[in-house]
Amino acid sequence: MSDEHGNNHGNGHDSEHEHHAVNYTAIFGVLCVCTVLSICFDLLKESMPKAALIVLILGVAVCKATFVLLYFMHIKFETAWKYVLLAPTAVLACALPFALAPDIAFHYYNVLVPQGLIAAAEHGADHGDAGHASDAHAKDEHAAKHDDHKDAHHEPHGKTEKAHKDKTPAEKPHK
Amino acid sequence: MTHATTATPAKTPLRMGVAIPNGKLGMWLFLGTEIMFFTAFIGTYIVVRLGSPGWPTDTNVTHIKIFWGGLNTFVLIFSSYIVVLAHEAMNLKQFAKVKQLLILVMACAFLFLGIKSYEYYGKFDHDILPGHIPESNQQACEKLVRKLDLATGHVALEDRKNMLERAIADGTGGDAGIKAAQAEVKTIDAELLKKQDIRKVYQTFANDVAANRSSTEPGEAKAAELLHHVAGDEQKKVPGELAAWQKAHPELAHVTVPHPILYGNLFASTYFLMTGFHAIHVIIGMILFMLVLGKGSRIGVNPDDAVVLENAGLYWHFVDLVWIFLFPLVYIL
Repeated sequence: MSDEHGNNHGNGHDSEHEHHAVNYTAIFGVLCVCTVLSICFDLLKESMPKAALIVLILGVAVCKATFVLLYFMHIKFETAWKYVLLAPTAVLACALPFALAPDIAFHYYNVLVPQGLIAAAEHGADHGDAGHASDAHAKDEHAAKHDDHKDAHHEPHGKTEKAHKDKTPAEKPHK
Repeated sequence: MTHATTATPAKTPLRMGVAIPNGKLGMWLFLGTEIMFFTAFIGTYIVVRLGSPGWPTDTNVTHIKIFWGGLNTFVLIFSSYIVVLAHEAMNLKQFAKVKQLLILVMACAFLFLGIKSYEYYGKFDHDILPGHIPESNQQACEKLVRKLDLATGHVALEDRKNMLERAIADGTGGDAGIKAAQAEVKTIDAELLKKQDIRKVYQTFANDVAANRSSTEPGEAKAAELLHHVAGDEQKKVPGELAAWQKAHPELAHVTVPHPILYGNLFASTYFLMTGFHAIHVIIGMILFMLVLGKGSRIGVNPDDAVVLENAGLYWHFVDLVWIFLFPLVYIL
């Protein structure tokens, strides 16, 4: 019974798809162009603000995902059931990151983990200001603005860090 | 009653459920759970990364290979394109073409996994593994001592000796077993004595590292100094102590100086978690395609083959979709 039911629906679905012929080659071309764009953004990442890079790269990823969903997965041609199924999924999928974010990503208090202390000490050393590193408030503020400054101040092996190799010999890249 | 029936005739027969095959509905429901599964990983990765100032991004340190990641992105997109062509061919009953296209998809999947294996090899080769990465100079010093101990064979012998001593204490194997164990302990002691000569060369360093363990910030500065002393300075062509140790004892030739990577363990954990589960999904997708491909010349004889291929295709596109986000998040940003 259920098989028959399913097959009937299946036939109806196929005929529905025949009415929506898609130029898959063009979609594939767009996806390739988007991939090349992502790599180009990577090459330009030293010369553009971190925030702009994030927006551009994730924007391209969202575009690619949209094309795959709409045309390869045929979501564009499905009926309203797609909203019933995907809307609760999307809400629940966001729950964990949103629940964790206030405590882990955007906390206002000082987190006394060894890595945080090292990062703060390096930050202070780079500025020649030891007092800054011990200033919890300043460190929190710095953490909040980290995206813009991370590469310049915190990475033991970051590209910008290479200029400081003489300072800390332990910070040479592997091999 | 009769009046009501004639006044509102049903235009279409009522049907239960949504207007898609049951198998496809099941696949979409499953993909819904998969979306939540991967969003949990990716979302947690983003949150953890935002909360970790100093996250490693330099590819010289993380051994992330952007070119190979980009190539894998292309391979997956191309395979998705081939899958939709195979689905179209199935609808047009071009079954020979379906078979050829699915073989191409399988080749793409193998290529993807091959490239991924190459990337994983790089991580294992450089010990970029969860729990293996020193995040401070002190941890780097301690890891170096451990590597030196392993290179001398000291650790393996100590472990074996401890195991034998426990067996002797428990009386395992009776009198004969105890005697054999005692004899082996003696041999190990003699071996350890020989190894002491090698250990002597870095014993001072090991002692300094152990002494430095108790303090925090001054300890970290001292650890940096110790590490510098051992590693030397490549730029200034100043050899460190390790070079002299290696010259005296070839057993230590493969030992390299570990370098601290802030949040390196968290990076490695999230990298392997996300890309590992993605690779498992690629393998499952290959198995799904094998269900169709395994029918050989009988592909399309059963009308359900089209539904199976469509569902396998949906799953494959989802795998592609996940990679579309993993590539920029893990490789580029």
